[in-house]
Amino acid sequence: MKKNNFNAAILFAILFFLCPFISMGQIKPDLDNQTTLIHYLSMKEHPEHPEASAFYIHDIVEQNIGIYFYDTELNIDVALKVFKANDAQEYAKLILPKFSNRTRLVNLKVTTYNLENGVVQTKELNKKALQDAEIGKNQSVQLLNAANLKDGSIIRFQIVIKDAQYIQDFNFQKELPVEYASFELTALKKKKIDIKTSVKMPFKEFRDIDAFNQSSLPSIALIYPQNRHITYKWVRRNISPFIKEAFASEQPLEHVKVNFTVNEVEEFKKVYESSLKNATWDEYNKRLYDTAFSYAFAKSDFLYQHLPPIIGQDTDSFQIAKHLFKYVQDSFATVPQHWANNFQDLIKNKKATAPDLNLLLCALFRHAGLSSDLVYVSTNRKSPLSPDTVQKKDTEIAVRVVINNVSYLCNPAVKDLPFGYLPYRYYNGYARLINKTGGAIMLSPELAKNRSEVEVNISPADTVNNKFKISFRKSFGIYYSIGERAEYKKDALSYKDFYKKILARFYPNLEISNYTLKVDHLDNMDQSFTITAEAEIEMGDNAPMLFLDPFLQKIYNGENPFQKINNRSTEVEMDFCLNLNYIFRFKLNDALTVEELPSKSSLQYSNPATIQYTQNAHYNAPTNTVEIRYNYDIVPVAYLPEEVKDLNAFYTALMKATNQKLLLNKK
Amino acid sequence: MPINTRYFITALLVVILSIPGYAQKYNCDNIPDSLTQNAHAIVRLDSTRIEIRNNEFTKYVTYVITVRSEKGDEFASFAEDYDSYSHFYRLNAVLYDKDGKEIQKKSRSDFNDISTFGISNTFLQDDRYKIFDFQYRTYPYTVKYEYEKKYKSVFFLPTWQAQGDAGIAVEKAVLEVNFPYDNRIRYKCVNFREHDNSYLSKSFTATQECKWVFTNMKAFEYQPYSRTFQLQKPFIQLSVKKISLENYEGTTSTWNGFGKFFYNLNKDKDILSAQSIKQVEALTKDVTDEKKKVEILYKYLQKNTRYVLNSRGILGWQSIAAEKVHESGYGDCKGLSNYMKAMLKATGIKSYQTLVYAGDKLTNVMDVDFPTNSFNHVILCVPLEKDTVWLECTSNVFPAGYLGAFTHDRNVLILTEDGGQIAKTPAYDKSDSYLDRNISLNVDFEKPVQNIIWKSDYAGDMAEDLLNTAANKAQKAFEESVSASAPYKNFKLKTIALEHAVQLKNTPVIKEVAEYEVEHLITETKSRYLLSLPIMSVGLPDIETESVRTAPFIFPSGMKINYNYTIAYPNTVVPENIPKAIVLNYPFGSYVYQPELSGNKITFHIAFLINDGTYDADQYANYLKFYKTAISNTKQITLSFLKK
Repeated sequence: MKKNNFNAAILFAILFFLCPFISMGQIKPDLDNQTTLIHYLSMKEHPEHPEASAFYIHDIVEQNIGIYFYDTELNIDVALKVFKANDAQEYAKLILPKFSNRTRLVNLKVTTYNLENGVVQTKELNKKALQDAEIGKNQSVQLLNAANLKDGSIIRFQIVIKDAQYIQDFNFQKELPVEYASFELTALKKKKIDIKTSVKMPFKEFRDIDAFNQSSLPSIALIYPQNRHITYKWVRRNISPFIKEAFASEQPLEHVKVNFTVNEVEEFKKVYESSLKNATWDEYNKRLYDTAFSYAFAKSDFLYQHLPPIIGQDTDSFQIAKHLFKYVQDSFATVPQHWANNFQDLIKNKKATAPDLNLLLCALFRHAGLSSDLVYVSTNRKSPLSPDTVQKKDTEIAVRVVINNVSYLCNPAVKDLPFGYLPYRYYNGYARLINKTGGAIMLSPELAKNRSEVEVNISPADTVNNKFKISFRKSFGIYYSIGERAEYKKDALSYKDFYKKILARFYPNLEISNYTLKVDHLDNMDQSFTITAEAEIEMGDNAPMLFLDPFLQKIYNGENPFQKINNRSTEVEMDFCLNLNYIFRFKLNDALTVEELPSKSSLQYSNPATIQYTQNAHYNAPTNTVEIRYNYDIVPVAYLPEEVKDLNAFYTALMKATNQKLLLNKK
Repeated sequence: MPINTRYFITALLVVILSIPGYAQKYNCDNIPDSLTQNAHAIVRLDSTRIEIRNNEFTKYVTYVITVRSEKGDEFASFAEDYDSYSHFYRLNAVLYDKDGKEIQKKSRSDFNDISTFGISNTFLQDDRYKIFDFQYRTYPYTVKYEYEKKYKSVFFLPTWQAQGDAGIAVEKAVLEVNFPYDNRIRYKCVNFREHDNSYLSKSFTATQECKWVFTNMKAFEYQPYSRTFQLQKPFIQLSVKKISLENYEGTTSTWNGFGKFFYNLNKDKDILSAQSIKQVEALTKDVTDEKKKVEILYKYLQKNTRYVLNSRGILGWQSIAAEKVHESGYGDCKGLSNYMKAMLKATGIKSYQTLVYAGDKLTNVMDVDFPTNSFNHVILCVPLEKDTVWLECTSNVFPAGYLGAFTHDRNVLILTEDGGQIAKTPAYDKSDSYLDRNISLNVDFEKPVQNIIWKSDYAGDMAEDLLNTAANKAQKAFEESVSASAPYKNFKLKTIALEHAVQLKNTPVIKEVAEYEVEHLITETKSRYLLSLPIMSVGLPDIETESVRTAPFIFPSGMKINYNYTIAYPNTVVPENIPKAIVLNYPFGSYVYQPELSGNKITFHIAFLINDGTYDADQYANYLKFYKTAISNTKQITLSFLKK
């Protein structure tokens, strides 16, 4: 008897401790099962993401599509466990569109579960609880707020809708952890379907529905043909919440996209794209040159007549090119769709698609007697063009003009870059020229370089009162200038205040007076946006030794960008080539002498170096001037997630270098 | 010249001169010099005409403003709200260049119409905004807005200001009010003495009119921490004797009548079903002490309800039924206070909803002499035999009897069946609201990471933010929130633990112990180590003005913060240049910075004290010295240690 009791006790202990793990790996969380429900209600925090105020127990979408794409039945079953009600209010709200006459909300049940004194309390709302609201101009919705939401509640939304447009996109991943997410689609076999998935774990495919339903693997997919129908289903389990990581350029949510081929255009697109698979670049060039892009290369009396008012009296080729570029960039809005039969229509309507604007510019360059071609680029570093295969996805058209044997690249559809610059993401390697003969060019990442210069000068203003003049001048570089101009225009006062705080870094007891901030090239995109902050300063205390911070411009504001070194999931990518030169000059007065200078530093990450930092300081006795310089260079390569630890160590060393002080003695 | 020709030329001249391009009306050169001093913008004309008919009124507005620099841009944009009780009938905008020439004209369809839908704790709301901005940035430029807006109730009569903000001059501002003989307006003119104005009153057969005109009001600089701008410049409060909202009517010539109107609006909303009453009674069945009952029911409210705003239509002013709040588990300030009232009623305790203006005390002061709708929040007043317990029903963390900083120490209107009664909410002083923090660090110069321990006592309004965050965020998210406010850059919050208590006057107290691991506090040179320890800023009032201070400065509440640092160092070094002590004492406050070296420890006692009160402008220079010394001296502790 004792032995049986002991065995039973062990079994109970095993089950008790395993229960959390059993439920996390179970086939599908079944909240209709009382034991499962109580288990979730008893949870105090998510085992892997304790910072989460809530998580999705399940997120299930099932849809059946009939003969027509509006002949659908949609079943949605979403359940959330809420740890902190006040922090998760947003999830208690249900917002549904006001359906058209055709679409029907067949069923709605919103249930809130609470565990009180060991007993499950339930509160249910149905369609009658929906209230109408207008959230925008002619935008009506129906709203419902779940009742009795408290810390620890579970909210479950069960919705059945008939005859709505089918759902094409489903995100497995959300901003909260998701324990179980599934998306199911049943349609007639004869419908052609295009499926795209993006998940961190590849799906294991099943054809046997029983095996699929019994699998507890984290990522599974089912393709299940029946008589006239076929069912597709994808399941993902234990998905981490989406968190944007530092220096991660592409971070799509885990998702599936389905698209039915509905008409000739779609069919044509598919046929066209499959034909591309077999074409060479030269064949593709010929196709574009002869047909779609032909009017960029054809002569036009209209364009000849259109040129003179734009060019004016200029005869210099470079200036002419700039005039034409500015004209196209400033005079036309870039729109996603606009059918222009010819350049006359395009110019009359003052708007065009991005490719059409590039065609227009190329044509104008050529009509002005300049040598110009179109350039076919990839816009995605992760899928650059290959010499061996023609690619249509993630591509754009730009323009090249050659003046005095120098090539200038530009895209007038991009409104915040000057002539001669392309968006940095275009610089990812192999690109193609579109012209009579075709050919390749290389747009290497090093060509997208942002050069920033910072110069700080401090000199005595008034020897009697120990006052100094300080000037902080920063030229941002072409790419950083885009954001800085926008910030300044948005709120010039805060912007000015920000740089006053930068000056205040110099010394804790710094008194700043007569502060001004001047900006240059605010609207002239051909030059870097430049600021000059000036003031009079005084070290406002009687300390016999001054500990000054000469590094007013700090890399990443003095914070290591890779402090989080665990569980990084995405590659680290720097945006573009960056070069930052910093010079600090302090001309001392007779009352100050140098006690200690910051030490020299030279840091390099990887070999050949992709990140470099060098720092020097010296005192020039004849001029009584301290000069400190640093140079920071990065090349935009991608680093694996595991390298974050090494990057953390590199930047720790860099922060240490720029944390050093300049020590001066007062005589 | 033949007559025909003369007539033709005259007619031609009339036509030419009436073409808008030739209008000189808004030419910027016409602005008097006296109005351009210190002015980012000049209001050329601000004309408001209000016509009251029956219980409704229509507002006709023409607003013309010339903007001189980027600081004036915000005043040239249009943003006006409306809801189910108001509607725009006419709305247009015109842009003029510096010569007064019309550049652009926009009609109602060009204005953006946005709702405030989407804020997490709102549910149903009918507030919308019409907004527009020419985004023209060539200075100077002039914009004109004209609109006609109709209101379904005189309940919403506005307060009118002659001068909208600091840095804005006014060439001409006019208010006209036309009202029926049998429902005359009441008005109160405030701060009129210093400005040009004229007042006309005319009688017609069925209606009367009042008119005020202001001209050539110079721009002035708002001096921080003086009485708010709105309370310094001339403004006119408007009200009518009889008001109605939907089916509710009342008189508002006294606060008693005003309170009665609101009481009736919310009457009989505090009824619970028999089953709900039984549940409530069960919570307090063995409790005889009334105060204890209040505490128990308040805790129940906090645990079982959440704040959700529902202000659609009349629900912007009327509580939702208590039984509905009981069923749904949510409500706004009216709904939750009414529900609490219903629960107390079920246990035989009387309580009263109370109207209050929640927010900065200086911004909106209830005028005890002129009843108007100047409230934005509802709390609950529970008068017991020995004590009055005030309840903030929208907070799930406050102890019973504690009102947060946003509603304490001000006049409020208690809604009773006999009408409104003015009362004052409790005030808290520095003995109730303070922060004491002890920070200790054993410096190890060999290690890149230093451990710093914080032991802090937060009391009263100093504890509010921490109370809210700790209760309403998951632990890790709470830690991230605490980390975000730490003064360090490269660090980790290793541990944090909180202990809660309640002190006298029901104010909350939190004892916090936190441990930080911080990098880059120490830099090493050839002969010494430098320790730079950032100090958390304290938010001393910044009252600095660009010009000579003329207005008294007001501190509506006091502040008491103490930081005590203990820095222990090894025997391998010798500290040099210990900073000198600073002690500043003034009527408005004091600052103490007291370093001390003892054995192998350096201690810093840093104390900030602000006394609430009003201080003459001649104290300004002293305050500025006090402020600059305290701020610049307390950014970080910098110590150097010579290597032995």
